[in-house]
Amino acid sequence: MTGLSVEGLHKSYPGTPVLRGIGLQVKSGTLTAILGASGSGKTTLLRVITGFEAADRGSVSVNGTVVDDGRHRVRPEQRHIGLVPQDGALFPHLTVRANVAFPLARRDRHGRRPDEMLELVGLGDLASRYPHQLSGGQQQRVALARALASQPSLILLDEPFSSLDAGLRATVRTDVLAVLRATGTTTVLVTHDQDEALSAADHVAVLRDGRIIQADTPRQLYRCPADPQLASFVGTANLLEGTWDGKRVTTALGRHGIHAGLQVPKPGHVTVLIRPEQICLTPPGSDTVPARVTATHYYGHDALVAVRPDAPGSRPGNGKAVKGAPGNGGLDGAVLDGAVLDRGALGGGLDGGALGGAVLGCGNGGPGGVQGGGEELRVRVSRSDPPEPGEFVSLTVRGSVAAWAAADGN
Amino acid sequence: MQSMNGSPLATAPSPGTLAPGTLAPGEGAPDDVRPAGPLGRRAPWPLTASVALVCVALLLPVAFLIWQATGTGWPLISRLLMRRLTLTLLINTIELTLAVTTCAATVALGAAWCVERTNLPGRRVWRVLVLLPLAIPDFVVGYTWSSLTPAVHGLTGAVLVMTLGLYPLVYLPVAAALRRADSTLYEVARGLGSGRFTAFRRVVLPQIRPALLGGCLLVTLALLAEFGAFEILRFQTFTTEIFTEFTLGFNAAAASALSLLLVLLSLLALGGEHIVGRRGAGRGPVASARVLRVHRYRLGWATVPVVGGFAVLTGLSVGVPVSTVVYWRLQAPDTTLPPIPLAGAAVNTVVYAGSAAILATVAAFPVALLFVRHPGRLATASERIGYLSQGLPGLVLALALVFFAIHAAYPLYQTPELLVITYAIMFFPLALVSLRASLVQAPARLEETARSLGCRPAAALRRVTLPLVAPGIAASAALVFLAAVVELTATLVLIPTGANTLATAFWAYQQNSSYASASRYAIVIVAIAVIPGCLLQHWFDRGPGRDPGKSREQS
Repeated sequence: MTGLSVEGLHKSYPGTPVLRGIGLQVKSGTLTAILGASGSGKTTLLRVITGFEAADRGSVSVNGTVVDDGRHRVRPEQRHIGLVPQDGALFPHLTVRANVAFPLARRDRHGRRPDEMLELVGLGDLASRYPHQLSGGQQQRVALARALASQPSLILLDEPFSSLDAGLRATVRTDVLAVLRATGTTTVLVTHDQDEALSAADHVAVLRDGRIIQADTPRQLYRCPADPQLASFVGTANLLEGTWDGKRVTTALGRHGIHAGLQVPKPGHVTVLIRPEQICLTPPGSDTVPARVTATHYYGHDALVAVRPDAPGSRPGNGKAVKGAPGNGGLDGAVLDGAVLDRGALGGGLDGGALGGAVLGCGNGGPGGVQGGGEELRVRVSRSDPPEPGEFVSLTVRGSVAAWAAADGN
Repeated sequence: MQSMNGSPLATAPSPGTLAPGTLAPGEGAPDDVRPAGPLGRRAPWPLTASVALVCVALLLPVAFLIWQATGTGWPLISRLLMRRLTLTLLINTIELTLAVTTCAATVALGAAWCVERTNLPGRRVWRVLVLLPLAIPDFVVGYTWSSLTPAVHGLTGAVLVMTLGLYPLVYLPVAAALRRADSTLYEVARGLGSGRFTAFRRVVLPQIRPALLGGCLLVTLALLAEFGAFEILRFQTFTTEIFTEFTLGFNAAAASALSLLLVLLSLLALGGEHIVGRRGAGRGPVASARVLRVHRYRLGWATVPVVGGFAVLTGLSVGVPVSTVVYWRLQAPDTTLPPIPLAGAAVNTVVYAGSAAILATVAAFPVALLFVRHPGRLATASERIGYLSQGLPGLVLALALVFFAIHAAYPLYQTPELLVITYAIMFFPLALVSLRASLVQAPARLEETARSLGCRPAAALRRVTLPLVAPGIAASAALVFLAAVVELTATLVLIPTGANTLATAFWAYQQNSSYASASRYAIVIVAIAVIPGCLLQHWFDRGPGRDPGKSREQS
């Protein structure tokens, strides 16, 4: 059964189309994340679903009942959609218990249900407090209890964890989602945080420019994103130029198989996605791709290492200098390293969060792309002693890759 | 009179509005394209209709003023204005305004800095004492000083009395701005090599400049509208001259010509502040959601002179008026006039001011709601209209309504209703400002949340918004009540024959130099004026859960 169904939804504000044909199906009892960057239309979509904005075209149904078809719409209070806003939006003049009792009929407000709801979210002992006496995480859980108390057909979580500290976020998220799964509530989680979406949801729908670009399971979305931009959005991506011969793709890093089920482009130039954890660093060897480490971002449990593949014979001077000979060459090498490190840090690409910031060797490398330009690649190393900048390594790619026909057609 | 035409709150956001925590989205929060008004762009028609009605009511006096003037004929008006008298009045007004504004700004800035940013001993006491002059009408301050010594008169006397009476209008917004100004910025400037005074001038001053300008505007408007104090101090301004022309000379033409000029001056001041104030726009605090750190400067050896300064200031502005009134109260009655019953005058005052408070609040509510929830052309227009009535001195407004009553609604002439309507129009901006500030406390988001939890719109308004706005409603009514109690000029013009309020009774005796008899009424005025003040304080400091903005800081 479908908990939420959105079809062909259009919505525009004067002069600005915001939603351009949204299609989205959420199965009952599952958790779907709507993932989108700022300005992608998340908030508007949410407001149309909850009924605070009217759809221009298209339809929204909740549990099989049409609530908005572009002409008639059901009032927000009759939709039975529990909304948990970004900061909880608890009523500041009511106690925690009165907040949870708010949606109940007058005679039920003093009954057991508010307390049961509070027990469910583990806050039974805070019933008589006021919202401002709670921590951010507790406020979120009260907001959830309040939404659940109204026995909604659907719960909408609007960026519910983004205002919490990083440390608190994971805990509150786990607690909240555990309650939602335990109660079997159909849930839509709106977020801009790809880690949150991938780790929490059964399905992830990516919203961009008012359209759903891809709706898939987290694994499928990460492995086979619909386009290079999306690949960078849902994680750190190495995008390489390559050629597809109908069986395998060839890049600067070798020949790779492609993911099963991927729509295979016709033979020719392709853009290839290689995730940082697919690349293995090994000591320099004979039949692998030689590279030099340019920067290491150490996180303890793992490290993100920037490497620059060395085209054979392209910069012999550098190689010698870094190997240890002091003098002019060495100085050059150091300066070069510094510059590279700076660029990596400023670009923000290593965080993996910036849209498009991680597009490397794709379209801007000119003929030869990675091979000629010596673009950096990001490699995730799950060792506690990652290689230091300046060290020489070899690169091998594990597993199959995703590929799209090259955008510029060369 | 203590003109409350311009609200101190207009530039000093009330305590509640300083809570951007819940309004400012957190890191990485969505800033999707959003409709202008959170509850949908279009306002429901009853709201629009009531706002339009209020706007028309507010515009009526202006319309009548213009009608009155055109009836007089421009040739006559220009001849009346081209008199030597006009030049004298203009010079008087400009001299007075410059002197009082400068003095009040200096005193207020110094006092606010010391209270908010130094380790001044007894800050909590000083904070209350420096605001007390707001509760003492300026005509009472003028009366006490002139009863003490005839030397206090003319320009010097006017500057002294008005500075002492009006500096809190600058103090209030500046102190609020200083509380908000992040002292980290000051410390950064010091760290970048600026000296103490350079850092103040280049970093702190720009942060509080809008508040300072706003306060100066309020002082200017109050000066333009003031009548009682200047009459007592024998200092001639436009307002006193208009009053004389109207009541003694029955010269409506001259009164309306001068009124036009006075309104023009007020609007010039409003426009000037708007332009100068906007130059600093876009300099709001950068990281307002952060908890502000306040660095207190250690006074050291300067403690003694600073405390002495505060003692002198409060002694002159509160001590002298209060002790003088009390002194006169202890003297035997000294009047030949027939006695005016104190209780009757007090009841009249409370009834008129109370009705005005209710009327103004009821009228301002839809306008505030529209402005906060459905910003747009109508909301902006109604805000401007509110501003316009801020630029109408009470006397001019009263004359316009007298003209309106005589020509268009004669049954209203000389009735309490007309007086109440005048008060309500006059103090409409006060009600609007505090209602708006409190509606911001009840964001539409909360109402929407209530609706998604199954509440009908009316129930959401009743169960969520009204409880949250209640303090603002009380504050709004209290402010209007306070202002109406101490109003003198319009009351003198519009009071029904034979009726008296405390202010008119006071005025009658004072005019007769019966200081002792007048003091009885002055004391009750001050006492009544203090009650809403305390009520305001109470509402703003009220118990748990009132401030949704605090919640995040504690997480």
